[in-house]
Amino acid sequence: MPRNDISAVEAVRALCVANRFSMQNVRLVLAHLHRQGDPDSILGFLEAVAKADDDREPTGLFTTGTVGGFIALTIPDYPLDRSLDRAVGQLRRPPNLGVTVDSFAFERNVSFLYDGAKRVEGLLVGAPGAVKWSASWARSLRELSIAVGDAASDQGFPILFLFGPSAPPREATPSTVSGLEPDWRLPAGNALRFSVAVSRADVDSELTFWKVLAARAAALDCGLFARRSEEDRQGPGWEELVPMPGWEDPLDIEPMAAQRVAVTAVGPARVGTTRAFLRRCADEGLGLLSVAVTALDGLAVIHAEVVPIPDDDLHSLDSEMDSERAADLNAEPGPRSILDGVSHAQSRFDGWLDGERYQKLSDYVVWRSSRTGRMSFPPANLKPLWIAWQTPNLPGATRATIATLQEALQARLRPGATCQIEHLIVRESAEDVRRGRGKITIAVDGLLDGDVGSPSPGAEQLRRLRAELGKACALVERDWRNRLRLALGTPWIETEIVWQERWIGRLEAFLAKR
Amino acid sequence: MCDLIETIDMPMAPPRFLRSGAPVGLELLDLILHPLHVQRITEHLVLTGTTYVARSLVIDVSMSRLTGSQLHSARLYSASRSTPEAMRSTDMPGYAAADAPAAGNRQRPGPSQLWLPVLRVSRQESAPVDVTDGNGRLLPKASQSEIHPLLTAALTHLFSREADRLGEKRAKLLDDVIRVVRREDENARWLIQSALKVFIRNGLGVMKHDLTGQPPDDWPESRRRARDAFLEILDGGVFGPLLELVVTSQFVVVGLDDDEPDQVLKLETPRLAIDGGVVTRRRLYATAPRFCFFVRRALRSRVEGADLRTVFGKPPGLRTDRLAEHSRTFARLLDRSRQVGGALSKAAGRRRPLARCLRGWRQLVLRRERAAANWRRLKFELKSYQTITVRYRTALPPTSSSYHLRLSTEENLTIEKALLLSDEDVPLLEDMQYRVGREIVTLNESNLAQFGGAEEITALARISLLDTERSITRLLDLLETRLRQLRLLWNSADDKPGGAPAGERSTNAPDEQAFALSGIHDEAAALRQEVWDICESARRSAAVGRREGMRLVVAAESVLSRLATLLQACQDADLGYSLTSDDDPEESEAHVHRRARRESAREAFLRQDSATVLIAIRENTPALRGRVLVAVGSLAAIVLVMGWFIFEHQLWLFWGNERQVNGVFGLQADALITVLLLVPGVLITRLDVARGSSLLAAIRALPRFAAYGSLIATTLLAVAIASGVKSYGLRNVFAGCFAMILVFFLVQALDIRASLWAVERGLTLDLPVAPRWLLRPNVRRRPVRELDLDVRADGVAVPRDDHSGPTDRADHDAPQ
Repeated sequence: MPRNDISAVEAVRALCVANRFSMQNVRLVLAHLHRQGDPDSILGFLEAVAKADDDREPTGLFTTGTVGGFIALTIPDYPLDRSLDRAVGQLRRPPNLGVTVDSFAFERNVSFLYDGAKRVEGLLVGAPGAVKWSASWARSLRELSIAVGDAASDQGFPILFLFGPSAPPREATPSTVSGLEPDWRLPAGNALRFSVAVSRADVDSELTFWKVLAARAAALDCGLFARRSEEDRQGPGWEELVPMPGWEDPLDIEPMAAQRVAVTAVGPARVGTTRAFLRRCADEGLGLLSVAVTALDGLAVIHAEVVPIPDDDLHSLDSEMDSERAADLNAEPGPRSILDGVSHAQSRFDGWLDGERYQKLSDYVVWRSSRTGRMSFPPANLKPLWIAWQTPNLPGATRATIATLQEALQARLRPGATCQIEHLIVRESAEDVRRGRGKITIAVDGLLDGDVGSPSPGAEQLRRLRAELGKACALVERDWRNRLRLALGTPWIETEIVWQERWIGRLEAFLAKR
Repeated sequence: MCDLIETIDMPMAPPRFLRSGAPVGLELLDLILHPLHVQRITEHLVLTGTTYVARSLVIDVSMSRLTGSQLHSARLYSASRSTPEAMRSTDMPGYAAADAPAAGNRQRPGPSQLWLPVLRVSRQESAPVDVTDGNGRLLPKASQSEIHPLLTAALTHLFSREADRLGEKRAKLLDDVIRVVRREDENARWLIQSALKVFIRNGLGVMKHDLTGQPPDDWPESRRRARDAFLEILDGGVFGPLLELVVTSQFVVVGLDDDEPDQVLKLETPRLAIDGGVVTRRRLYATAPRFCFFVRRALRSRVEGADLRTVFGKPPGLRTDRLAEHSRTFARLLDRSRQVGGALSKAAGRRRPLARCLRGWRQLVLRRERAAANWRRLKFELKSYQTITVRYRTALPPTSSSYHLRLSTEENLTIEKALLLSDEDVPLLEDMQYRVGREIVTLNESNLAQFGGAEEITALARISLLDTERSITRLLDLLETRLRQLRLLWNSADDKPGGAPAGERSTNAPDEQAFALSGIHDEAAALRQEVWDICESARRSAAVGRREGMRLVVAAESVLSRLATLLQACQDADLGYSLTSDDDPEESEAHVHRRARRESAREAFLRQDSATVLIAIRENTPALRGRVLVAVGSLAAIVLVMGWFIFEHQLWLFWGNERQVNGVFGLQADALITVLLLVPGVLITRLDVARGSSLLAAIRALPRFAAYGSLIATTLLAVAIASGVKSYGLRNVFAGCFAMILVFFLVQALDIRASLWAVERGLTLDLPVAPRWLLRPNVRRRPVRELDLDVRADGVAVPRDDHSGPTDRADHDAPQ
């Protein structure tokens, strides 16, 4: 069996970082945004944190915006430093920011080691055509998440990324397979993306992982796809392992406007925590409107927008969730419900994850805030674009990147066209650069010059669409890069905006930075 | 390590070590593992003698390539070395960084020197090194006794964290040995700590005796626990490689001027002794039987593939050393048997032209295996055609920095070719082979067990197909690299002036050589196409059922087993070994290099590729041979004419009068002796036959032998005349002397003829570890002689017909 040396190198690095005076702790700042996916409020929040915290630069950023906005920032911290707490306290006050915010300090987690050289990415698709929030949607997403959590934890693989709802892949047609046609149909649907670190040495576990997941997917009647890497030179972006159900909308029923709660659990990352969290949700009869899991600086960030759903009957309560029912749920004996006493304000929610069953989560902090108002489903005219970038590790680089991206898009977009950040992850890498990846959804019509958005385009139209898209992306990308260069004052900037997911992430790491 | 645990006194108090050194030691270890600042390592070998080689290193250090956190690491270590005042000064790096984590790292610290590890060398090669900077100023070095405590502290820290991590994983088991050692049994903990300390300080050399099997029953409980816990943690995969690194290497840490970001350091190392020394012995050469190579390969893989557990479970150093030593001895024995076999086959005289016999006869091998030095080895072999092959085995620096080797030799010698052979892609191939093997097994199992639903089976088949596709793509990349290398090697051989006349052979040779490889390449490409087709049809077919799933599994299995065959063929062709040549030998200078590879930089910090550099050296003025020939010839003529005059017959060798010295006709013995001593002496001294242990002398061994031999012959004749031989007869003595000189003359003439042939045929390199992709598939049938770059190895490439063998086997393994 091949020996795995990478984690040894990583372990030394992690211990080094943990031993430095300045970086013994990690401060995690969490915020629930009131407007989903809005670049302005994300930027505003980053500015506010920077201002309140004396320009301390976050080393990791994770934000999602499909359902409800959410930001997590990791900032290196001294031991027993109170200044950040004060800063966060200041942040709570201005109401115009539209955030609820809190911060938590953790010791560096040095035991979260995995073979970073090999990870598998996949997609589970529940009901591709669903475009309304409903209880069965929430249950479906929960079941999909639990399936991934189970399959990964049983094999001892850490989940590096879990994200739903995300865009379901199109049916494979010759034009999508060859990359002629964009892989779009919906910006977000009842689908769950995952990325799991597997061990290179352990092929058997990897195969078992897929096998178990395929069996679960078949049992749940949903599709399973594996991401084809950039090494695979032919074929579609997603390889279908279990066929997904048809596009006719099985969940197209009355939308629900139930009380929902944004829950975020944070703590040292380790294998099995996601599963434990999801089990807890399931035990309490909660469905997931969205779920986003990632690891930042050795800390796991598990964020979910939960709604109470009835467990027994699928159809009778798909309609509006009445408060009576919720009260019934709360009255059940056992641990406290996450729905207890939710007010508008955020609160820490201790004790939710205690107990034998969730033992892995005993040191996790749960934080929740209630959400009000009707949720909007992402409109169908929004199309996804994938972005990636890499900048030197300069102060303010993350803020500048997001700001310039927004400027570049605004300059190009027709007035009134919308742009949402679906998810972004920024990390400081070992090579002293800051890398980011993400997905934005914009009204592509606003980006293109001509009108090419016909539902089933012919070959000529496809060609034109390709050309137009390519041109638009290249223009925005160049504009963004130039703006970013000016803003940061360095030429060592790489940016990328593409309309096919499989083209993303070809950034060469650079070493000569200064 | 385990026998240390066994033999060390049980500590009754916590062992003393520098606990506060852990952070600094870790930072140092991090810098050692990620030497981003080492941009390029240029090694300069001066090959002059056969007993030693002068070696120096030039290291390009670029501090601007260090990342902010690494700079911080270096500052922290530097500050830890400096005075307390500097430590206390305001810009102590740790606190500076605390003020502004991102930017503050770059503030100038108190000490103006930045201490950085620049080189890691084997502990076995622990010679003192002088490091100078660009201006020739000697730079300070950190002593090993200063580094070891830091590394010990770091590794002890790492050990306990690793114990925590593994203990946490198995939290349920209360009697888990790691948990017990970590929490309760402090004696065991102390024992491990003190054993680590001794182990790191002394390296692998402390091993006393072999330790196999279970520990004896009379061990105290703590000792046993310590041993078990240690082995468990070694198995964890994190601690083992680092411990191995620290105990096998030592680190050159120098203090650099902080003001200059880019510096060129020069390392002067003592002269490197050559394994061969001056021992010369004749070696008969023969093309190797095939099995030798197999046995050697098996041995080699056994030594290199020794898994850490066994290495550490038994005393590591001893075991590997012994194994390596045994394998080397065995290889030598094989060599010997091969020689004997070759000699026998030659004696049988089947289709062996005289020149080949002579070439074999003229092998002079200068080598002597040194016992423990498996790190850098130099080996000289004096080949026929006045060519010396120097083999230099070395460990390449991590792939993040490029490696250059400059070679220079004496003025009168020409470096004909320099080749760099490295095993850089061996792990890649092995990984792929392992993966494919496991996948076949899994598919087989699911096929046989008939369990699982249709979706499960389909998904399994499709994920294997996807993986197969990836593997084939990677394999194709590798094959293309090798083909490119092959073409470059052959083209450069063609262009060489004085090479073979560009007949059909040399132009055909590359194609023929490339054939086996491009055959594999075509097959892989076809296989990939097939995988694409299978996937495509699976995508199109809407039907999902058990039957379809099984069909897909069968298809995936057949594709996988074909891939396994291909991989086996690649393995057999030694595809993991790369062979490059820069082809810029210029008189007595040459150069080979290995580029830094960015893509694998993340993985390759711990791994060091081993490389063999092969250098072919020949004399650039072969005129001496002609002069020696003339001298020997004139001596023969003198003896002949003298005999004619003395014995008064043109054919005095056969007829003529026997003469007595100082006899009837008053032969002037004194005059004869004078002529016989003076003339050869004058002739020989006018020849410049090099002496001593220089390379030139080694190359000119045969002419020297001939010249001195004929001198000795005439001297013997003079002695015979002076002593007035009676019993043998003067004519016989004269005849014997003449015959001796004639033999020397003939040998010299044949040598010149052979060297002319050598010029016609080009270079001959003997690669005992030549990757077989370099060889023609049909080497086995007839020896490679007519090729320009005549690379003869102990093995042969697999003929394409042979592929049926592994295919059959793999098909057999997979029940359909």
